[in-house]
Amino acid sequence: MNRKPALLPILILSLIFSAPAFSAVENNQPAPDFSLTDLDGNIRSLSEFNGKFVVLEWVNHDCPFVKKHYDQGHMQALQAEYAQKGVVWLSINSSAEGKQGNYSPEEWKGLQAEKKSAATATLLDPEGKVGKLYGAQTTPHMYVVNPDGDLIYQGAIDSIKSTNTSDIELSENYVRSALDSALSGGTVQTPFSKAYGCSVKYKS
Amino acid sequence: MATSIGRFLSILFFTIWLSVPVSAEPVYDAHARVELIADTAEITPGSEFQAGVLFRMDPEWHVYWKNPGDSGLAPVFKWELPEGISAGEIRWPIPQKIDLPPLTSYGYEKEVLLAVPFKASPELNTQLPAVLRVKVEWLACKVECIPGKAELEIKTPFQANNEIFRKTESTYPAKKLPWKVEARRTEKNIQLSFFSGEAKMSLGDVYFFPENEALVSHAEPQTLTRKNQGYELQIPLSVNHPEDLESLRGVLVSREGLSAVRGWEVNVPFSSAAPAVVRPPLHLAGAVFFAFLGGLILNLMPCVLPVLSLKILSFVSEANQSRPSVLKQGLIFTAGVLFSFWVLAGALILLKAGGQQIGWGFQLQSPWFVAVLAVIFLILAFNLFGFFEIGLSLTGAGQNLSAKKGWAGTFASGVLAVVVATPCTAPFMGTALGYALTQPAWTAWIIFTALGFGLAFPYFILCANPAWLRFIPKPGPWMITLKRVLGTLLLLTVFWLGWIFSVQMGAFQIVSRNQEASAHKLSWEPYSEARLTELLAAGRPIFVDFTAAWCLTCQVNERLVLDRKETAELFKEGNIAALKADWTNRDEEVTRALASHGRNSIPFYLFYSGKGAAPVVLPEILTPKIVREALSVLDLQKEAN
Repeated sequence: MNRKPALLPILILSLIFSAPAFSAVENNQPAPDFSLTDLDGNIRSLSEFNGKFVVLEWVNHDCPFVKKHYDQGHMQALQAEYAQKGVVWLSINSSAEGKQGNYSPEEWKGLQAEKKSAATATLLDPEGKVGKLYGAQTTPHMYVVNPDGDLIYQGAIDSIKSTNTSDIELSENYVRSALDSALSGGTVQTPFSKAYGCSVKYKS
Repeated sequence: MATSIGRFLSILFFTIWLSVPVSAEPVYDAHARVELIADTAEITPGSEFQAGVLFRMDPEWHVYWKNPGDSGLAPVFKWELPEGISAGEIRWPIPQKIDLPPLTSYGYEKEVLLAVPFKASPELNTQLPAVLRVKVEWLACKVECIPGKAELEIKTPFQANNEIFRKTESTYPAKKLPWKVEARRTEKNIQLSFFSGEAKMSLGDVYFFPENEALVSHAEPQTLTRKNQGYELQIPLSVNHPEDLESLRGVLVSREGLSAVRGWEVNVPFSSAAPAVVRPPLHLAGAVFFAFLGGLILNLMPCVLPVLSLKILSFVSEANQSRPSVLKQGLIFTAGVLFSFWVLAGALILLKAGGQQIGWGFQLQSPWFVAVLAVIFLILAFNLFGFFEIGLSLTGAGQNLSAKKGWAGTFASGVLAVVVATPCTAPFMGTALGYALTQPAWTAWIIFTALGFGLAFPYFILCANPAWLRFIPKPGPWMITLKRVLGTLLLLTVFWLGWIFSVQMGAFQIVSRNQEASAHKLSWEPYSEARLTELLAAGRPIFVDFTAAWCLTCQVNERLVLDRKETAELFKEGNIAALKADWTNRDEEVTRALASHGRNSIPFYLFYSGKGAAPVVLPEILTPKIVREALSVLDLQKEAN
């Protein structure tokens, strides 16, 4: 118990000196570990999927760019296709309470069922700590982690920046490209792209 | 392939657009009222005119600039035009920063006209009314985002909206900055510097809007610092910035108060001239230590050696004096050295504060100083040859001096040691001096003092322990011979000073522009930032020699190492470009290049291996071995390939 008073100033200091809270991650470096609760209230962390490919998807179903990829089932098809190849898919929502796209776990369950999401898990990050840790700027913003735990892709979902669903067929899906190359033992051709979409609705 | 995709895209675009009704009236969608307007009523053949989309957003909603920043999407126009009319690019007004912490976007609130310049061909058919049609797609955001689209058209005669176009004209960035601009990349930042020369510059809050979306960290603050005759803006790079950008494009914006906004287009190639060498910061204690060590080694430098020898002579004559008197001599000599270093430090600090581009040895950049120095050396030489005795000996070597005169002479010889030392930079000194002149005056003063102590230290120790003087032989006929030798050395120095003087007066050049390449000698090219940038872009290895006629250490390095046949062969083998940065006279470009490496003294040698790696700094004293080893990086690269 008597450790608490000493910890508090350290905590406060570390909060002050950790600014800016918004960081970013580098490719070919270990993807930072994190823990968030899923829709059933279980704590899930990135490290529990060591040895597997993991896709992180920042999601907000009220964002038109997310709708572009969900309304005709494109994102769900991608999730299902790579789930069969053993790829873990984590959909993360960093909308703060009271902001657009923030829903209760129960509402989220309904939403993901309605969208027919095939993600391994949906994780809620209303404090924005994981979003800021990864420097997630937009929805969607995609990250791919390899079985060694290193980040091998980050950026946009695909190559055409628009809200038109019809552009999807014409674009290159960077997540697909990264996974296909890495699954076949090759190097990722486009390891970084500028993410496009709505801003993540962080807690202000 | 690309064109067929393009065609497919445009066909697809049209089919999607079938669902949106074409409107000649303003359209309201996604929290914006959009309207197609023109600045003319009729289109005459061969004329130029403007048309554009006027966005009027609901309060707090915004649309985006061409680089939307962290999130968002720039508006897209697809024109459908009659034959003979062609559209140019969107003219983007100066954007504003829209902060949604922790994210930052670039865009426009309230109202913005995105105008496009048009050209009508001289053969334009004016029989029929001309129809301009545009499909607009945009993203409007407040915190949440909504995509909007509209298809707008107008038919001649247009309703000319000159007023709005004229008003918008003042919101465009100026084509060119009125100053000299340079962009550099460091490990973490882009440094954008602009020099105004003499003109006064006044800027408000400055922010650079980059065109590339992934280059900089949009939300991080950019810091502006005043530099000599200009400013430097530090723009933090994003973690995943593209490495291969050749130039920096964007808009530099200065805001004063609420309304006064000025902007300039920036398009400058990244200059590698002042490279991204990140050196560990030198602390005061380290700088003082280096300064002391440098001062100590300065005694052995070719420009100080004759004076050192004169001092030895004086020690020999003093060896018989009483201990306190000798100690006093040592103290006075030290005082003389320190006094001159303080004068030098004061002059440097004052001149720098006045905005002068100067560095160590700056006084030798004045031909008149060189001339006076030459005369002093000549007098000393004649004195040593025994042509005459100087009443008040500057060297303290005179045998028949009264104690008082000896002290004045000792003080003066301390001064002289410093005066002649200035053309030299000893190892360690460059680092310490470079540090000193970037620091507050008192720090510089401490470092110069340490340097002085270093230079005076050997004499002081000898004077404090006269017992050690016993190792020097007793006075005798050998002194006459030594004096002759030293006199000869001084005469050579006089010739050297005469040569510097003639170079400064323009009789010779140390780098001739049309120097013929020979197998045995390096062919040097004169240094310029432009030439360096060009060579770096070409990926050639480059050796830069920062030198001056008055820098004796430089001259020795060149004679003994750089101008050797072996060195020339090495350079030829590695296809190394040799650049000579001549600092004999004041040269801002050379001073700036030195400063970018944290230096303000020469000799200074840089070697760029040509693979985009940071340059290697060679030591102040060169040997063939050092140069060979530095250049051997090239062989490793060759093997790696």
